[in-house]
Amino acid sequence: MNTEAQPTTTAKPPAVATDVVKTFRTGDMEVNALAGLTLEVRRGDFLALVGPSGSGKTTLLNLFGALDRPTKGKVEVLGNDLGAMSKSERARLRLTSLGFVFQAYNLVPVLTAAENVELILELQGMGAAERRKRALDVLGDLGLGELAARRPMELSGGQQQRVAVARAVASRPALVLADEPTANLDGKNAEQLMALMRRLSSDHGTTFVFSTHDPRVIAHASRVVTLEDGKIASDETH
Amino acid sequence: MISTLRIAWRNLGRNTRRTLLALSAIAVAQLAVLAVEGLMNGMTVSIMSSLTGPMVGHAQIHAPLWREEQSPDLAIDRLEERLAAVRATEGVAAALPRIYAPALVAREVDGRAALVVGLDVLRESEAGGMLEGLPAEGRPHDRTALVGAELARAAGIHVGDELAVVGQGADGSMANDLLVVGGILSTPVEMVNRMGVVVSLETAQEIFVMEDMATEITLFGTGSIEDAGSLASRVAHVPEVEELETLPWSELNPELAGIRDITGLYGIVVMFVVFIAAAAGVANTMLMATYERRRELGMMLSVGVGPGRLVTLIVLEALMLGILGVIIGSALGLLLVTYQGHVGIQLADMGSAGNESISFYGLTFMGALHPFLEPADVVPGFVGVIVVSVLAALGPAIGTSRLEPMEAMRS
Repeated sequence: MNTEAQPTTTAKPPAVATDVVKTFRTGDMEVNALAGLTLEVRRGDFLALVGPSGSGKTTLLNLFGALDRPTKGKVEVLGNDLGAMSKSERARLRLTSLGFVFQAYNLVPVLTAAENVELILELQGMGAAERRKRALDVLGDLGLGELAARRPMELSGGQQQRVAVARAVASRPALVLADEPTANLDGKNAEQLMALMRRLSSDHGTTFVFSTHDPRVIAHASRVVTLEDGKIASDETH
Repeated sequence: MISTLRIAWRNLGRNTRRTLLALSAIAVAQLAVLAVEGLMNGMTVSIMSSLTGPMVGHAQIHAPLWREEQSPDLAIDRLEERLAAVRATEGVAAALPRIYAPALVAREVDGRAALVVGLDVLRESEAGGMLEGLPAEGRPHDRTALVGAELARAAGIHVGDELAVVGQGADGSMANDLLVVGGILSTPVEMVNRMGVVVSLETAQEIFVMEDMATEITLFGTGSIEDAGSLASRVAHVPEVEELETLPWSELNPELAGIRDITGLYGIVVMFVVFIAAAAGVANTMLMATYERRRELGMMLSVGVGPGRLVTLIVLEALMLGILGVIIGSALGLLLVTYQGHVGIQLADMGSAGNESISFYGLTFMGALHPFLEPADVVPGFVGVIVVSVLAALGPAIGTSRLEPMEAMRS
């Protein structure tokens, strides 16, 4: 019997950071990646984190993704206080409630596109037939139906990122986090990917938080939060 | 679990050269283990068949103290009565009376130390006897003797020669007689080859004044050599031989009994050494594989693959590598040992040059060894590889699973 506390995914805000400080130590130097940041991600947000390199975008995404813990302050993800969660509880939260799209190394290279999407569903305990149907539905929805049996190395960079999005949304998570998802894509593919993510957000009410430098990507956001030196410089809703 | 199995299996194909190298290390290890096992099995059978063959039998009956002093006056008397009782005992396949009497033999003037061996010619000519395979006309009879091949060569004895035999009779008198050499004898028994002058039991009884006597009764049981202990203890309780000493082969020749243990130990040592090599192969492969795939493993941790699942994935990959290697090694080993068993390994190749036999503890092994495998022989390899693979993969697996996902992805 699993006695671990199951993460809650109640009607609380998808992610809340309160006076968060995150310090990294490099040799004798300490760098504050986040310096007392407070931000609430609201349900249904299609939120772009923007700002120069080193402003704390990725650090904040990692905290919202339960991939890290704050040095000071409090981060709550779907009502769960990360500071009070064990490593395996955070892994469980990521599996059941969060979706991820990274810049690169998104997919398991020895699995096909469909198998990559199925992986998370299988880990969540979904039956074989149901998860296969779900994976093919999601891939079809993203225009990847014919590529379901291909492995990542047989797909273009844009196609790989779309498969990563498919994997991220297939389990219908409450919050999808994407760290510069278009960084390795050309303009056309970047545009397509953002349009796709936006559609998924509006169709399913999924909350997206993504970091970007690309003005064309920012244009898709419903809310743009600009970070500077680990703090919020501006928070605009479009 | 299906995905984990699928990933582990397909990961083996990602670096074919490295996988093939690791597979080769494991396969060669298992091949070496099976080759040694096969050889040991062949040797054990050869040793055991020599042990239970003509000379030693499964057990022996002597008069008390005869083994220490080997004096003719310490012979077994009332031989026929005792033989009849022993032969009627359950589990006794054969009871062969023998006389071993030290003597001097001389062809002309110079005498040589020899051992006159008196045998029940008819019974000893049957399967398993000391004269097995000899044609009827070549067997000893009356005053015609067979002389051990080495003794004949050393003393220049030829068929047809007359030999004078001088020894001590059971009654203390001087025993002497003239024998005619009827043949030169090569047997698996080194002592007979080197010193033996083989005559019929009756002739030996006459020469050494041992009417209705013998120095030894060699026993063969209906069961295997492993049952020799119970055979000896059953016979020891037969009233007619209760006052005599009945011992199984393992107590008569404790050194030979130890051979089986030594061969088993040797197999374990070989297995230990070769599996260290296999472990190094698996450990190296898994270390390299996990190091190269850190970002990918970090990504998997990030999306919710638990640390335990990651450990399972890496260990499964090592296990598949190991089991595949041991299957290949087993197949090659079976082929090799089957081939060796078919053609045989000439003992001359293992012993000193020019000899067609090797001698060990008084027994001569001739001809060829025939290695063979039993189904159970492949089991230690499988178990060893499973243990080695799991142990070799656990280090890198646990190390990777303990990483913070982002730490792994950044590396």
